[in-house]
Amino acid sequence: MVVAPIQPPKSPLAQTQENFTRYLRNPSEVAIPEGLDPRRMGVYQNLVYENIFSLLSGFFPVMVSLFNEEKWRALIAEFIRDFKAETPYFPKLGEEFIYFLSEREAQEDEPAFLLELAHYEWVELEIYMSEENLQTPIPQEQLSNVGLSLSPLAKPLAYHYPVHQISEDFQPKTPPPEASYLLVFRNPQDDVRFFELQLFSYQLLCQITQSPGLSAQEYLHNLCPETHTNPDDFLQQGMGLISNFNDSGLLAQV
Amino acid sequence: MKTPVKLQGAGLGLRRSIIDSLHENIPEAIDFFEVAPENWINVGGRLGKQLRAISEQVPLITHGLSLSVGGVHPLDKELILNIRKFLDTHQAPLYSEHLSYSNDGGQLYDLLPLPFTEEAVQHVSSRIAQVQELLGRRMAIENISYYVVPEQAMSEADFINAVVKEADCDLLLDVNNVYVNSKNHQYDPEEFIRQMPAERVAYIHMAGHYVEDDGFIVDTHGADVIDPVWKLLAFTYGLIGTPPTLLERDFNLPEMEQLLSEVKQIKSLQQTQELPHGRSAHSAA
Repeated sequence: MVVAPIQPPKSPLAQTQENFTRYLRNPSEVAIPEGLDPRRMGVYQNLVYENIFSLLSGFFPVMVSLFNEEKWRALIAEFIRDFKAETPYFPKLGEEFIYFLSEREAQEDEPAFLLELAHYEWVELEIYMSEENLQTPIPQEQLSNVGLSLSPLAKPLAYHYPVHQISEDFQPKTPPPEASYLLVFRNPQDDVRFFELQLFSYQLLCQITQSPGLSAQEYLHNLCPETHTNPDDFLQQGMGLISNFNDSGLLAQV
Repeated sequence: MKTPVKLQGAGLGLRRSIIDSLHENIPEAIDFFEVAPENWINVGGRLGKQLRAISEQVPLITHGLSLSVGGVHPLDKELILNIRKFLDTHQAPLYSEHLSYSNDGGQLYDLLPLPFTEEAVQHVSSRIAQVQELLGRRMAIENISYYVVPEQAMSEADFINAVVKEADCDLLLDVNNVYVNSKNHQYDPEEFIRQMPAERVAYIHMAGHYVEDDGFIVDTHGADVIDPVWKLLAFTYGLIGTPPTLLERDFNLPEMEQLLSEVKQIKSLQQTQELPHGRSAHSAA
């Protein structure tokens, strides 16, 4: 038999706070705590809601533009009601919203790419705000032999939908046959940029991310198909790519 | 525990929307800036560099939002240690938080009112003491604006005094909040300020607010400071001297000139008070 642990009774302070916040999270279903003025409790409910609404609207400008106001407002209300965001840091609230989106069941009339788009918008913001710095490029003559890692300021991404093209006027209903491979990164001017990657480049960057410390030669050997007719060409092209990432300060020596 | 940075005069709340125009050319009228550490911890890139450029030129103080020091859920020690690191990095001479809670197991990112009870005094003071221990320095606690009192066993002034004494912390006296609360809860703001522990006031906040049709006030920090609040500030200076004073403006930001004119108004009130006839007993910690 499983015995449930006995919960100590809540202190009056804990009970007061629980009654208060339960209402703020779900004002349409939870009663206002006894004895408190409905109008003034409405002020609190409004402050909590509008603050989170304006933070999240700022983090996901593209996603917001795809919703009509009423639906976006309803989604935020759902977030406040159902999700306990833990981060004390305001810029990280966007990440909490991604967790929320990934855990909830999407509604039928919502675009299927919503979570991918939100993730893409979040990664851009995360890289913009990151405390990391770009790397000093590794000297060219050492580049093929030293152990490499990918800067946290560069993120190779793969999406079913072309999230980088989605806008109010372009909202695909089904994913195209080819996935989208993107690199989001920060440049020396501290702006965030992206470009589309070939599948090969995506795989190379993923390898460097997942198993850092190998040399450029090793990564390229691992990726070169055994059936490749001209492995030297392959290696040369690959080194060209690595050299470009290195010039952009996106590779570090480990 | 003491820090060498001397804080005085008039400061401005630093929002991201104004940092771009400020970091290379800080107006002379601004003696210090204040930020919410929760907006800046672990933030680098352009924003991080701009903030660093500012804190290298003038003192930066910190005013937290997410500590939930009055909450019943465990204190976020990682947050507190990150705040400590942030204070050290920027040599920030002050950290303040609100006498409120914001966490019910998750963050609500707002300042919710505590009941004015002995239980709440004990609870919040012991947590403030823990925070001070982890920070290795004193903190200041702010009187919030509140719209309801969940339970009232003592007056707000007694509540604040008890917490400051029990926790052995400083007070961030928000003069606008005193005014807002005095209207919303019908009390005499000057009498309230007389009851505050003058020797504990580390600094003062000033702000504007929003008055609804029926006179009910919401503390938005989204408007200019109104005359009665200026008068209350002058009254406060007359009573306790002229601690460093910060203008908060979070929404509807006007042109920098307008913000600066309010910062200058703070300074001019301080200077008037500091003239020989004024009673300037206060020396800011």
